[in-house]
Amino acid sequence: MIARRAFGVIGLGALTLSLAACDGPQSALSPGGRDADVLASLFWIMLIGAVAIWLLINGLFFFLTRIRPRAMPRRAAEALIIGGGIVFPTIVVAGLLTYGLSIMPDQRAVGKGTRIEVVGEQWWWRVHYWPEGADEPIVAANEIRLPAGTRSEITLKAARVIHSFWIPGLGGKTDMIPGRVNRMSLEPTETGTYRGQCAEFCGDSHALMALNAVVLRPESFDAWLGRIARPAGPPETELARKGAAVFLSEGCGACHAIRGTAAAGRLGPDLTHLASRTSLAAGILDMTPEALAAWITDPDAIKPGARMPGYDHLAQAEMTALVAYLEGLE
Amino acid sequence: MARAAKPHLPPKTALWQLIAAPIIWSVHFVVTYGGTAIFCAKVDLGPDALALRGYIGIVTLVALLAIAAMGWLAWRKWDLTDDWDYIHEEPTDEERTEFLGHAGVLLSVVSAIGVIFVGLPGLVITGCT
Amino acid sequence: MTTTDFTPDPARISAVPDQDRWPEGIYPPTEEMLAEPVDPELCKAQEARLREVWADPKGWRYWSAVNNSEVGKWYCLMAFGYMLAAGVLALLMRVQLAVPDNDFLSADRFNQFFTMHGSAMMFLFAVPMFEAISILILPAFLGARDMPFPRLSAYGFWCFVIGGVFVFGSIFFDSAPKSGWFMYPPLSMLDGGIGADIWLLGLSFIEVASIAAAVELIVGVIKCRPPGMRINLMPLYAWYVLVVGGMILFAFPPLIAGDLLFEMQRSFDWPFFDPARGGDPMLWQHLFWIFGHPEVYIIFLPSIAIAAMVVPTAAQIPIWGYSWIVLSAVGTGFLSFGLWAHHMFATGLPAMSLGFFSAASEAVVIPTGVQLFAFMATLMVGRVTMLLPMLWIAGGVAIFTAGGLTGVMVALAPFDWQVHDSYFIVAHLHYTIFGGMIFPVVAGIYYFYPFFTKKKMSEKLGRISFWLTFTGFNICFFPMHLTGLKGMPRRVFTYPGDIGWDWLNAISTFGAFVTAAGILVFAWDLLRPKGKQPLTERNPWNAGTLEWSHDVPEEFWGVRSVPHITSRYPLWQQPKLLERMDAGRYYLADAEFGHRETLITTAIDARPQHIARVTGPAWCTIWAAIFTGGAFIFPTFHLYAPALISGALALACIIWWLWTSTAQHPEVVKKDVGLGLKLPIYVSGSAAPGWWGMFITMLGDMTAFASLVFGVFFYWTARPDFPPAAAAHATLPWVYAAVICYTLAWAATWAARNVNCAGNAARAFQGLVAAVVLTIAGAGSLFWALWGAGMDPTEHVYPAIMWVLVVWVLAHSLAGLVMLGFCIAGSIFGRLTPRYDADLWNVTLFWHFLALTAFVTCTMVGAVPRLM
Repeated sequence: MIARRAFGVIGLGALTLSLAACDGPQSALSPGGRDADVLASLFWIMLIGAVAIWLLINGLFFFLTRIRPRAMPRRAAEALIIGGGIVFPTIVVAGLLTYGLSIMPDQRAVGKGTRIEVVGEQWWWRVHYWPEGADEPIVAANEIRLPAGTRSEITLKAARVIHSFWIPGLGGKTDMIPGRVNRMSLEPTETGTYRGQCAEFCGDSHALMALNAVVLRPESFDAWLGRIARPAGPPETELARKGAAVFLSEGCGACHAIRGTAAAGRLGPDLTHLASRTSLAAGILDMTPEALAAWITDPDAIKPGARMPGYDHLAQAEMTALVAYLEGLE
Repeated sequence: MARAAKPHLPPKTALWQLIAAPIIWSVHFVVTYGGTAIFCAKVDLGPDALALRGYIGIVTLVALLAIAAMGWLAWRKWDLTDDWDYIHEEPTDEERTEFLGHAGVLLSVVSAIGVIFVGLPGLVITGCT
Repeated sequence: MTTTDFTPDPARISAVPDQDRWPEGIYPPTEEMLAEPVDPELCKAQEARLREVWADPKGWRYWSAVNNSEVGKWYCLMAFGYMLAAGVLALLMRVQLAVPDNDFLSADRFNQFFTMHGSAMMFLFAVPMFEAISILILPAFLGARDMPFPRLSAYGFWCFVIGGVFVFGSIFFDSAPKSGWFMYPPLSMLDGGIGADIWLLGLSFIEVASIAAAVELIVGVIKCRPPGMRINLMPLYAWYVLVVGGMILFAFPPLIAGDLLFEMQRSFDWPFFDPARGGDPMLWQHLFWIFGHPEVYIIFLPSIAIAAMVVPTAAQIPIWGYSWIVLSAVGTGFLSFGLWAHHMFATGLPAMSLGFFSAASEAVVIPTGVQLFAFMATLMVGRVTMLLPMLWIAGGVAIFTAGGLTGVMVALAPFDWQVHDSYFIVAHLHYTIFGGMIFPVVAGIYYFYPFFTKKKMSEKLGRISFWLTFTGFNICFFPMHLTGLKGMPRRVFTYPGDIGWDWLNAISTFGAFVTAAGILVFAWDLLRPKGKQPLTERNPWNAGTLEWSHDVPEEFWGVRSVPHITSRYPLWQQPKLLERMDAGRYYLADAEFGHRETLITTAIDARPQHIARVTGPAWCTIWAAIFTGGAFIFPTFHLYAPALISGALALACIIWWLWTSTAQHPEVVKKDVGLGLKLPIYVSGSAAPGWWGMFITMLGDMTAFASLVFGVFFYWTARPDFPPAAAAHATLPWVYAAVICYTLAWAATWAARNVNCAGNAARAFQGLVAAVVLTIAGAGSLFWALWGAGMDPTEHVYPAIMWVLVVWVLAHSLAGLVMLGFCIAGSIFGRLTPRYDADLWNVTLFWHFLALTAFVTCTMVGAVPRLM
């Protein structure tokens, strides 16, 4: 514990010294969770050690070849091989290894509370929330929300190909493999939005498979979960009602589900609370009417290989109505 | 010159002894890894996985003893204390044997470190997941 | 003075007078014998004969050359060409990534490019480059005239050319593989094009060529050293070649086994990686990385080997810590096989297993460190001159140590969970490979260029190139550490502009072009015409090893006479060596029978054993390569009939080549090689290089087979439904029949060898024929054991993997039959006699392995699943 705190202090010092360049919504160096925090501290410690060792080795090389190229005593050479080649690395690496192995079980500890199941699809994320004791999941997509201060259990699966689930600000990644069920757990400590991205090459649009992880205070998380568990409310405006009709008549419901309507498709992402999400098309577009219209018109232009067909045949008015409907699904 | 006699026959000092220690390391690695895969997939381990960790411990101990034995054989071939020679660049049978012994001792040391490292998770990690 | 006493081998009952098989005369030579002058007239006549025998063919026939100096040069240039091409792909990718949301390359094209960049750099540049350089310089290090199997190197080279053009060419037809150089299923299975097949079949073809080269290099080091070069006097390069050859032998076959499973699924729907039918995509990852990680060391060690030759020359002192470097080479070779799963840290393996791989990954630091510090120790005790090659080595050390230190970081499984598959890894791997491979290889090219061409490269251009490459490299890759830590995954064709990756990527792209400029300067320096430049002196760096004994201007004979070696650095430590070599004072100074010959010596003490007649220029190797290419390339387009025909033609070419040029009956039993020593020309059994070639090849073959067996146990631990409860198993009586037939076939072959040896050729003939019949019966029984039981390989992974084992045995049985047929034909046409029995020895050796393979397979299909 003391060691960990000491690491934390040194890590913090190094952090402040380092450029703000290390920050970012997807940075492993601006941690917002316990696991990422431990790993970031570990990195800073290892970095300091690595820089020191690098300077020693290359300084010595430079010294031997440039500063003092003449012959030196053989005793020193022997000491160099035994000390530098065997003794020093054995001790350093053994220490590092013991520490590294010892933090592994913590990072994989079993989570509690609502379990989140994420299924990697090409190229989006199917998300199921399993509150404790639930028989049926609460279905969502392309975004996960987590309560701060709790270690949440995450179950990882894949549909057709291998993906990898990674939210650098919260912790390390774990692969999603067809035919296997993997698990991990995350313990966010600070509220906020952390960007994550698929880390295993998964085909054409591997680059365009991201998601936001939104960390909420526990009570907000519970309230939010209760909200998305409910079916979608009826469209409120005339325009939105027209859009709902377009949605059904165009057959969108064959692939997408909007709970509370006739749309119950399971091939594509669940859209029940689409507009409450922070992004569109698996973390690559902002949630704006323009982006939504562009996506529906030609998904392949935005995400090459996407299986959703383009709806460029829709009239301007139909599109506006459809977008208004979807924008209303909060 | 009886010693130089049979040029077509393998000399008394065989090459396999040089790599005996790393081969033991490899066997140890395969046995611990394979055993762990089977333990984790087929056996219900208790909270501390003592059966698995005991298995790793025993295998590691056996491997270390075997490496020590190989190291001892190599040390005798090296015969450092007769002339304190560790360069071995003369074209004689003795130097060749001592060289193989020397390299064998060093490989035993590295293999032993390798075996200890690979056994380390058995001490630190308490289960499969 | 020692007159050797050659006693017979008591283990061998033979009809052939023993003195025919063993050397006779004086060994080692005395100083008086060496001091005796050679008649200058005789010397001239010998030179003329040697020159004629070793001359390259003229005109268009030049391409039929097989000697190591020609094949090695072509090989190096071809590999370098692929590197430049793969480098261009990297630049195009860097352009795409220079700015966020770029559309310079489409996603599809970018994916093809990064797949091809990785595949080509690994399979078409890094590994072949090692083989190429080794083929080119190893014989010179060993004072040998050529490699033991020159036509095999030529065959390997032409396979490499054809396979490489096929694989790389696909990029121009927009049909290149695009699932990454690791080809993970199921993604690669879903790829509807032919890209994945091109990758798989094309690269399998090249892997076979690599294994061929490895076999040849290992035999070269073990058997082709000059007399007196005991194992403690071998140049370090040879030690590395031995280690790396061994690694190729154990690392490539698992990938070949994986390729086999992979292609069976793609072509015939055998569900090895399909979870719906009991398969598991993780098996591919295991097999790929059991190859993939040793691969990293396979490309790293030879480059360190080059450094091990340059450093003593720069320090003008023998290497310090020879035994330590041998330790580190052998130790690294072994440990590198325990690291494979560190590419799979994020796949959800048990924590305990991750721990083992983390531990082994950290342990490998130790031999690598020893290596580095032994070089530094040498620099410490010597007086260092900063030669141009040393500059590249110093740059390599600076870059490699940085890559090694980040390697220590990522070897820790928990930290790897963060940076795995991010740009941090891109930085790490390029730091290790540029520092550990590219820089030392360039150093080696500057260093050995005078040896290859008898000209020097430009000192000035070399320094310009160095500084451009070095700074460019760091500008390009250093920022990537941060890019990765800021969350940028690998293999993305684009990225958004608001995450803070944009400026880092822009810097990297700039650096990539600076690096490219450096490489371009080097390429120009390498390839620019140097016609007018005067020839260099013979030993321009004042080095101590044998390669610098080669003549200026170049003579194709390699060494004028094969020296007797008594030191590690003969040119430094044996003062009259050069003069005596040139005078033809040493061994094998003549080619009086008009054959290309080189000396074969014992494995540990390098005592002369016999003379090997090596093969000369030939077209059959090229034809064999073309038809082998057909056998691999046609299946890509599902043209199985042409593939079979092509395979048969390839086999015919190879049989023709073996029949007409290997193990020929010599004119005389023994030849006087000089210095009072007479050596036999025809030997068989473990004295012959061919036997060693077979033995080593079969070790690789067994590794591939072991990987398939591993697959069975893998499915058993990974899947609860393996084997399925209601599955049909192989019919036991037929399995027993197969065991009995294969055992008897093996016994018949073995008996045939022994009775033939004892002089009874007729009985041997009967044994061979019986073996043929028994093999056919055994193969039939094994086939029927599964077929008769109705095991359908497309139904579930269990029957599929059982069938793969059986197919493996059947294919080997076919090879065994061809070999038996070769011996039977030899027996009929007088090629195989009690005196000349090398073929039968080699075939029997193959049969030992075949019998083991068949026995294990029968156990696996008959007993093991019933116990699971």
